[in-house]
Amino acid sequence: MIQMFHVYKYYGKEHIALEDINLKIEKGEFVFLVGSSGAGKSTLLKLIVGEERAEQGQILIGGKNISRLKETQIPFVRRNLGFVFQDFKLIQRKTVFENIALPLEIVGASGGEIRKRVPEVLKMVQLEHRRDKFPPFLSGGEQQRVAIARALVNRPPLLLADEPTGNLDELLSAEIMELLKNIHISGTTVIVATHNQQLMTKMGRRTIVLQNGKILSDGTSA
Amino acid sequence: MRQMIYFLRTAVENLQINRIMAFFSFLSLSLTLTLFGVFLLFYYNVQNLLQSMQEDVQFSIYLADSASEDAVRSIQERLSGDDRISSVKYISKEEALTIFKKEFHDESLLRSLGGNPLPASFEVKVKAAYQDPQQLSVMVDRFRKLPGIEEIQYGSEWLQSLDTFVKLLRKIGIGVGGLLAVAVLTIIANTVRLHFYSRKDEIEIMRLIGATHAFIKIPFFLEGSLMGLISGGVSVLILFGIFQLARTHLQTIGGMIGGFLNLLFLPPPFLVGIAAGGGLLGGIAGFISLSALLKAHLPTDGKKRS
Repeated sequence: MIQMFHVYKYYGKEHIALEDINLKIEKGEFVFLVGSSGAGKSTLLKLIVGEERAEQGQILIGGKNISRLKETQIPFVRRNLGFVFQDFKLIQRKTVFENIALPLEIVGASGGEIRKRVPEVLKMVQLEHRRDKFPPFLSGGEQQRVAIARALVNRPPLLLADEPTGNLDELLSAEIMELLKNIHISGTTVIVATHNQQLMTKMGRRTIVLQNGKILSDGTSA
Repeated sequence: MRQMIYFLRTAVENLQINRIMAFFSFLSLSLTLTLFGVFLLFYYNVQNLLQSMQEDVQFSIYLADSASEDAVRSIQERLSGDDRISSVKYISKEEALTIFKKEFHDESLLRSLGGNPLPASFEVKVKAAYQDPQQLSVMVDRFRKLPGIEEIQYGSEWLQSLDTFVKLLRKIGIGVGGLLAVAVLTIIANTVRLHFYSRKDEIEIMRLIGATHAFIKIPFFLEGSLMGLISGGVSVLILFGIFQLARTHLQTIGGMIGGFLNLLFLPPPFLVGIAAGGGLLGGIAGFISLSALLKAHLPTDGKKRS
């Protein structure tokens, strides 16, 4: 699903964000990307979605070398990815339904498809009763579930989450992780960047530890 | 189709974000387009006046009393055989006197001169295609050389200066139109720019979930078009109001000087042109403005962000 070969990313001449990253994530895996702030987790995810470009190395996603894609092709790569952000990134003046429908609007889905698909994911994240509410009227946990629903509405094979529980308390974090686990069970490859040690210990999944832009370890946490 | 509805809805939402600003943008746009319309109206009426005057273009060839019958016949043949001339009318000395008497009701002046001082003449009407003052002047000069002709009179100077005026007006119109177009572009580009800033976060989100630049730009393009189109429509209404006012006033003046001022309103293609032109300019402004903003603020080459 994802392969990286000798990937380097610098910010300016001084700051090395990622150094010689080599990794392979198979289809159907659930992977934690762990490290303290500034370790390079977010940069790694940004490279995968084409938000940043690597200075050196190759990144293959589903067989496509995104380091060589033109700027105009990047949006089409993103349509096959679901991305969940720490700060939810919901459009405040759109309702829950409209926020979730946005990726479908972008790909030009029909009205019928939108009316069918959005309630499906709303049910999955258990927010059917909130469909006409605006994000400011939702709790943090609910907002993150809306963001997850939006990331899933296009049925992407890969879901990336950057600190999805960073703004949530322990109880809500557990809820969100449970949701991500279910999404994984249904066949989606999931990558979660987090600094929350507790989360991955509980889950017992493959964990890639980053430190100062390098991979420190890669294995299953117990 | 569904996407088009989405784009239109987003465009209208953009305009509703800041209603007061949108109102003032609409107001300045409407007034700018009205200004252009007023100029167009003025130009259209002056050109119309020139045309109606040119339709009556004719010149009079006054014959010398000494001209022989052969010379007169030869002149008449030359005139009748000329393709550029639509009609020729001969007025003898006697007829000229009759017309003079009828028009002036004063025979004492003529009597004091003794006999009939009025010359015989040809009144010539020129076809519409040859009424250009320059062509007319060449034609008249050629006839002037014929024997038996004393003088040729036509409204050359008056026509020439009116024609020059219309040509000048056209040039000014292009200049003024260009300046006003720049004003329209600037107003719309600025409005769209402010809307972009107020929606920058949303645009960033849309890009992250796979929206192309075109998908992001189209609503702004439509927003600009809508602004231009609606303002164009409003300006046509304002223009009609101004026209009605002007006509009422000019009719009063016209009544005093013999009903010569007949003001015409712009024909429908011009009116549609003002609204459509506004829409087109608006669209261009929206599109260009956003293209520049997207490039400057949301680079996708990944080099700038940190």
